Amino acid sequence: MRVMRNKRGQVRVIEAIMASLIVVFAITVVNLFSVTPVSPKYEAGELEKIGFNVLHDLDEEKLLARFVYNGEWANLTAALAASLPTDVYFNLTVYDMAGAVVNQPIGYGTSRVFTDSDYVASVTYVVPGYKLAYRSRVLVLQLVRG
Amino acid sequence: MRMVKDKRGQFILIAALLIALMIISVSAIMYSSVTYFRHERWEEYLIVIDGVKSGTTNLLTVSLANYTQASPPNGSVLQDNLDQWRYDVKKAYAGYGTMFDYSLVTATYRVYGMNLSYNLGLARTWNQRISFSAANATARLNITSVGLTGYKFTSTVFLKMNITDALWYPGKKGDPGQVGVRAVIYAEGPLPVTNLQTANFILFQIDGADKAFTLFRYYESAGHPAGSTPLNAFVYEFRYSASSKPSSVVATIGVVDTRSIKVTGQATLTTIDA
Repeated sequence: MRVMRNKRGQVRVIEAIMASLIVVFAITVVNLFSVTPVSPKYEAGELEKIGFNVLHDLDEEKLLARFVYNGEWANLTAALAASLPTDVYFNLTVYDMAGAVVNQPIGYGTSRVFTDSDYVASVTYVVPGYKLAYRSRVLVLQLVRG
Repeated sequence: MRMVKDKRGQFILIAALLIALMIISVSAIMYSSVTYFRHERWEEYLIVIDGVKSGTTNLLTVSLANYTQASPPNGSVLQDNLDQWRYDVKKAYAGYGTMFDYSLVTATYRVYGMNLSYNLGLARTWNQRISFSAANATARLNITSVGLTGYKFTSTVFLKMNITDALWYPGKKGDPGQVGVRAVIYAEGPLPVTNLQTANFILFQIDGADKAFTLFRYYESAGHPAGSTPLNAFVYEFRYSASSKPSSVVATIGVVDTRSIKVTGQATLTTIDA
């Protein structure tokens, strides 16, 4: 009887080891398929989403086209500064379709903030026209977290 | 012996529970991993898609504003602008391999309970009791860098004015009375337009002559006159002075909304007591 009990115990130990192996194997397989994004890349993606949402919201409010086509750069700067989180620095450049810059400097934060940052998020937003006239402008919004 | 058998059963039960727990845990991890990266991968491209959709709607607005305000109207303005937009989208999102294409309707469609006769995506029926301006385009977007092809969406821009009735407000003690011509205005959706001011109404004529008016804006939930069916809508009422109650008036109203889209409506209205 004593020998039989021992044998039973061994089988259970083997079962436990096998179960552990299955768990380890499953976790290994899952990790093999999952590629966790590195933090800065994830951060840039988040900033892109924030930047796009801010521009889109201003566009929905019919303010973005007005600011851009009337040259209300101070108002546009204020609107962006008010809409973005306080720890996010930005720099907006407005281009015509020939690639020429048409705006005065629009930004918050020194140029060093952008040069020192490893990752700068960039959002492109196109405004096709204002009132009756079609005249596309390309807005490039760069964002970094301070 | 009976006790031993029970113990063996418990062990199997615990083992089964552990295995079930493992399967559920692994499934949950697998599911969250797969779905997270399926969405995460597309976030960047969703921004491009949303940007192009939003821009296309803006383009329709600009084109319809031009079509309704330019004299003479350019019936191909939407087509011309979309041709240019196709080129601009490709250039603005060059790194994504973005290709934009479109189709415009030239047919009659029943929308919002009305028949809209589109020509090259533009429709306009003015000088009626119910007048409107509309634009419609179906677009297809490809982002070749990620193999996204045939993403299709339809954009619509719409402005409708319904001149509903004319009310008579008698004057007090020999003073002149007032006539109130009422209209309701809707944008696409249909959504009531509630942000118009006096300056948005560029034309107000009674029996063919310009009339000075005072604008009243309110939501009508009680009928005029009392007991009648209410409009249950946001109402713009144009009141002007009149020495006596006219039996009927021919009212012409021109409106340009905040998007610069214009509609002109005209209706012959029997004046009723307010």
